[in-house]
Amino acid sequence: MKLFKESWGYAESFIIGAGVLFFSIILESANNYLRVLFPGWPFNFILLILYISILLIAYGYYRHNSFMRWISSVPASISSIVLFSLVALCSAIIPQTEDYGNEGFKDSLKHMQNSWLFIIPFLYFLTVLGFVVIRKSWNFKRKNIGFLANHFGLWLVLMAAGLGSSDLKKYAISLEEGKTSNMAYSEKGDVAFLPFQVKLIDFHIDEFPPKIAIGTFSDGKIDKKMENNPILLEKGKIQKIGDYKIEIEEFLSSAVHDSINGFTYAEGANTVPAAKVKVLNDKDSIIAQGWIACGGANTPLAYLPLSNSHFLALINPEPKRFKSTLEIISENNRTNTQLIVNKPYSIKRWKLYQLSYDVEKGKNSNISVIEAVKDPWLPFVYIGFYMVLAGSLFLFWKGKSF
Amino acid sequence: MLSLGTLLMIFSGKSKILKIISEIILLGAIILQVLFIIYIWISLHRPPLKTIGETRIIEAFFISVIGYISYKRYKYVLLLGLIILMSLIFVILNYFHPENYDKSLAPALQSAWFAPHVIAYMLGYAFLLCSALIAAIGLFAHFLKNNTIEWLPIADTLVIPGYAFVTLGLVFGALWAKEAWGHYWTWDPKETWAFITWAGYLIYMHARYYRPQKRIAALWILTFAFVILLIAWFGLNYLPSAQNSVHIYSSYQ
Repeated sequence: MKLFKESWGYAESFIIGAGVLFFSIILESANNYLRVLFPGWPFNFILLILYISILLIAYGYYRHNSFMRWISSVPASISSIVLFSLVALCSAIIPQTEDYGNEGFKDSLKHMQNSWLFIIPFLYFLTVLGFVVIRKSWNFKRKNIGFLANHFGLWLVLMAAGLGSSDLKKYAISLEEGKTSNMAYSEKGDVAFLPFQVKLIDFHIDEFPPKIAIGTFSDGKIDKKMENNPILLEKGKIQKIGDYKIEIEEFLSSAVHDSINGFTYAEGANTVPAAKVKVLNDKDSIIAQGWIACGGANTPLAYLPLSNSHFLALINPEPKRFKSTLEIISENNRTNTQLIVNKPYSIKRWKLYQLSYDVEKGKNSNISVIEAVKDPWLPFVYIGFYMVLAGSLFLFWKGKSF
Repeated sequence: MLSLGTLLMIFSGKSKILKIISEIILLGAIILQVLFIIYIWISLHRPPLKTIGETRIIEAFFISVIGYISYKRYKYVLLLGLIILMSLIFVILNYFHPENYDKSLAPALQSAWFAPHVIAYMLGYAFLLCSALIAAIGLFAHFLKNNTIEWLPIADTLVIPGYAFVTLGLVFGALWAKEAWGHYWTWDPKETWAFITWAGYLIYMHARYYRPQKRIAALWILTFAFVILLIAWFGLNYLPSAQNSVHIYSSYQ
């Protein structure tokens, strides 16, 4: 069998792919399995310019030799996709962690995205893809627009995501109501001072009504075999779980235990949702009636026994939306904004996200955690994404001959 | 669940009259599926795309439609039969795992991207599911009777829109992630498996383009890509490395 002669195919691609993997393992061991740090601005940009220039020059002068013809070919593409996917597969199967434990190669496997094991195959993929784009644009024809949308779009996303990763800044600020701060913490614990102050005016949660559920006495858990178990409480309606009919006579979203009336409305901390219920069986006779209430920090769960095996209870309500009313203060500007999940706020080149809150206090949380993200290479990622979306439309339209 | 009864009348149309009757029943079943989806959508006050049970209903519908259209185009009853069987499996699974159709929708899911992302994936997976059936038929035909030629072009016709929808779903997911979580890609286990699935079908398409005559190899690639798809879709819930993913569906909150 003749290898590496005239035109290279699957065999040569497999050998080169294996070589790339082997090279990445050697590099990783030479680096002592430590976290690979990628240079930030402006070095990543300089490297990019150098990289593109090398690709263009190499293609320009040497495009007729076997290696260059191979590197923009389909078998090379397949080998680079396979190799990169294999590495991604490892990171999907081996649980990834944040800490390094001096475990040598095992460390690399547990931090794949920060190891040469990942980065070299990624660069191999990017390079082959880059040459494919160059080859198809060298003598540009309009019929290649769909092809280029897909391939160049993907290249842009990968390049900007990869190179820009070192310029990506992500911090969390934890604020108490009424407090102002510009001090934020990264996941690793580094402190950063944002170029603007954030004041939390108010944090508010809207909750869904609690769910009513039927539990079993044997393990204290929800009886999953019962149809419709659990369901959102709806006052005034007769709700059915299994064979039980539950009527909600009264519902208090925020209550305290009262020895006379069962539960009465109250506000503030230490309150829980409570409901006065009547439970009927399928023959419409009353099995039980009384108050049920969610468990809180100082209140045990108030449940209603229905039989020897089942009881009715209220499950803690889930958040419907949570929002922070913020005042953002920078040198020449003061603005108010409301931050909710899925609606970030942009200031200077940062974007603020509603990240979380004091989950234990739930509705009464007076702490809000805001995330501040800065990603200068994002526009290129987005251009790439939209090109890929356009490329998909070409695929739909033209099918096989796209 | 309503469509379960009607879908049961899968047919093997031999006589002309039987064919027409069974086609009408099938179309009726598909219409019932649409009505059921609309009914749940209205009663939940949100698109039925959140839990695994809800997505099964949507998937059963998409698969039935694709199966029917493939049948009209290619006339292979075997293909239609298997596809409808697949759809039926989804419906039956739902019948045996009834869910409380829960109106609540977590804040993170309250986004304009929610429906497009999930629907694109449901459509993509529906096409790829059908193409996987073809891979199975093709491989069986090869090992039993040695005639794979006719099946592969049909597989290609299904993989291309399937892949295009999966790509849309992947990108929509990334754009949504940026709005919700602050970053478009975090190599979350679900994202990683979604990427590998996408790559699997990408490899298939490239292999088909490069060496179209290598038909058996193509069928095997299609099969492996499908196994990866299944892991990305369902298997994820069972993998230890994936337990902390934001994508683990919860059928009970």
